[in-house]
Amino acid sequence: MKLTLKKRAAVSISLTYSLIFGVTSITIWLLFASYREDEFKIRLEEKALTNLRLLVEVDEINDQLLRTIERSTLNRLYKEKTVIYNSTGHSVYSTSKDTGTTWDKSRLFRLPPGAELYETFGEFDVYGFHYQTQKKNYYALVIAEDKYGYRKLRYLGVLLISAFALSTPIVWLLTFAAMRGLLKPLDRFITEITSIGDRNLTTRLALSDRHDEIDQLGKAFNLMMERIESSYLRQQEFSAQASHELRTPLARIISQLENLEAGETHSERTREYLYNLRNDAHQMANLIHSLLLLAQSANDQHFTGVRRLDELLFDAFEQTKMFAPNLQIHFEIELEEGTDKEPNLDVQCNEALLIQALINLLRNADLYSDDHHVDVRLKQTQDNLLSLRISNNGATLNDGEASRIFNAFMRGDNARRKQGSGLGLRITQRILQYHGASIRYIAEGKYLNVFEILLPVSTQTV
Amino acid sequence: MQGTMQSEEKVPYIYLLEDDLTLSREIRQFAINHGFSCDVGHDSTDFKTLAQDKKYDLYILDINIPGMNGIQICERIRQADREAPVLMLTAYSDVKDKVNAFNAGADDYLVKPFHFDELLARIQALLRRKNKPLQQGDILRVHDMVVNIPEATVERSGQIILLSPKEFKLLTILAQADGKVVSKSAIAEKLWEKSVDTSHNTIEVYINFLRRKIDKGHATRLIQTRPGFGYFLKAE
Repeated sequence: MKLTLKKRAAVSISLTYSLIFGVTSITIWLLFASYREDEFKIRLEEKALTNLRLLVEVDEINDQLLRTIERSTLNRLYKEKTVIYNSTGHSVYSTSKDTGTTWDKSRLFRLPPGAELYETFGEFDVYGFHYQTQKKNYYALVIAEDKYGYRKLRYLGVLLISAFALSTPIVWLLTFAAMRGLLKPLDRFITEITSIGDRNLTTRLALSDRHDEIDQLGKAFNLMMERIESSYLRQQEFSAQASHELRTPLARIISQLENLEAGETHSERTREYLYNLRNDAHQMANLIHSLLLLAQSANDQHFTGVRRLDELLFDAFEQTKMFAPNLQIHFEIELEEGTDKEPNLDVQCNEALLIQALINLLRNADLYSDDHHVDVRLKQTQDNLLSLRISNNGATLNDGEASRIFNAFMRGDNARRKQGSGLGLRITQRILQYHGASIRYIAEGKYLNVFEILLPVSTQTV
Repeated sequence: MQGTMQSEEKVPYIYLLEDDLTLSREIRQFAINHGFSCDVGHDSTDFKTLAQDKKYDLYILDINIPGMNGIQICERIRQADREAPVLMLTAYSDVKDKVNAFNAGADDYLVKPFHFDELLARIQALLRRKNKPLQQGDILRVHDMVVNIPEATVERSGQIILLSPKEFKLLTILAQADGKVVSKSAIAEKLWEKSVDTSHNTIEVYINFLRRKIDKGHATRLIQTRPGFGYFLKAE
């Protein structure tokens, strides 16, 4: 699972808190358990010593009287049993006939004089003591349940577990909220940066005056964008200059060729050469034109406005006729089935770029057609897109070639003996992507090549 | 500077301002081959010293020339002669260049390199527009609608209506029929050149486009249908 920085920070902080709180709670609980034990041992010890001394050292008190005293005393322990044994192991005093336990007494009798033992046996705490007077040895055994001590211990446990269970999610939520607040500018940066494309390189991140690390990141990003934009502008400037420098000699070549062609003294072969040379020069000029338009498209201001796609198509057709004099098109505007509502053919576009894309498609269709006939169909779809289908009869591409058709310098098997740079469709796709449009190639059977373009309809009108 | 002014002759006189010697030579040669006279200048000094005070039938100006650029020269020509058509040439195809050229008063714009046929078509169109006096039939009226063919404008009830080139051509075809029915086939033939064919459905779509712009919002409808025959203009 991929965790965002916010979630990761919240989980890390929460886990650290939980660990510290857990360790602290266990330590408190253990300390309190030890305290309870010490306190109860003291009480058992006092009980054993008092009974022993009263029985052994006070002559007036016998076991009967001691039991009576014991019964009437206020500080009796819960389920308490006190037994005093003589040196031979016989009970000389017992608060009850039944000790209620199966505790092994032999361990008591193995205690050296003055020694004591204390342990927990089931729900009981057991205290034993070897008492030695000048005359005799006695063993005192006190068994009791520390009902109140254990209750306090349990209560403390419940308190600590409840505090742990309650505070952990609260800490998680608070940390997440705090991280979200802290990283909010980062989210904004992500949204703004994601929207940056080659059409809005002038975009800069809005910075706050907090001067924290996120602000520093924003400043660094803006600096990077300035460098990219400036590099892009230099590239554009270079493209424009290069275009000018390349076009002028091309214009010279073409004009000389055209005048030369107009002469009447050439042989057929020379005319053919001149015609081919002129066509090549025009093709090169077109390529330069497309590359320049693409280079310029980085700037938003070239988005000139809203135009009717059918009119752009006719403009493109007129220009295509210069290179493809035999081109014939069958043009249809189709209505969505079940409606006679006229379609909206407006598109938001860079006119020069879109015309160039259409010229490339029409030239392509003419070049790869068997009969110079191209079918053009325009339709507004239900999801507010304009569908433009340009198709021609001619050998289609196989699946492998079709999947690479928009790659630069891709030339299909059907391109044999056809003029072309292999860049036209790549440039066309790039231009259409720039307009938020899509293009796909469909081979319908073996002899019908279709290019389908889907362009968003403009919400503004011409 | 080559050639002299002969405004009395019918031969149209072109002034070409182009700094590239080869290109200017070839364009001049082409112009002469097609029956025009042509003077050539290579920079703004040539224009100011030899051509500024003369009147040509058409100016072809390269934008990027030494000294004053073609756009500034165009402004200067416009100050002296409001009528002379100006065709700008440039190796840049930037939209800004086009806008600047048209703002300076240029009538057309051609990006290098170009086909000479295209140059010729534009020269002839500009000269036709300049030389042709307003004739009967250039301005057509149907009820409260005025179609100005040379200006390519349409007004209805004094309001300018913006039409696309195809819509304007379609309206002109109907207006020129003077109330007679024009069949869909006849419209298709006139609306598109020979290299385009289309179905009657597409003609209907264009008629609907036109109706939306011409008739919508007006009590009197001008574009009428005669089912099975075609369309005609009449106030109803």
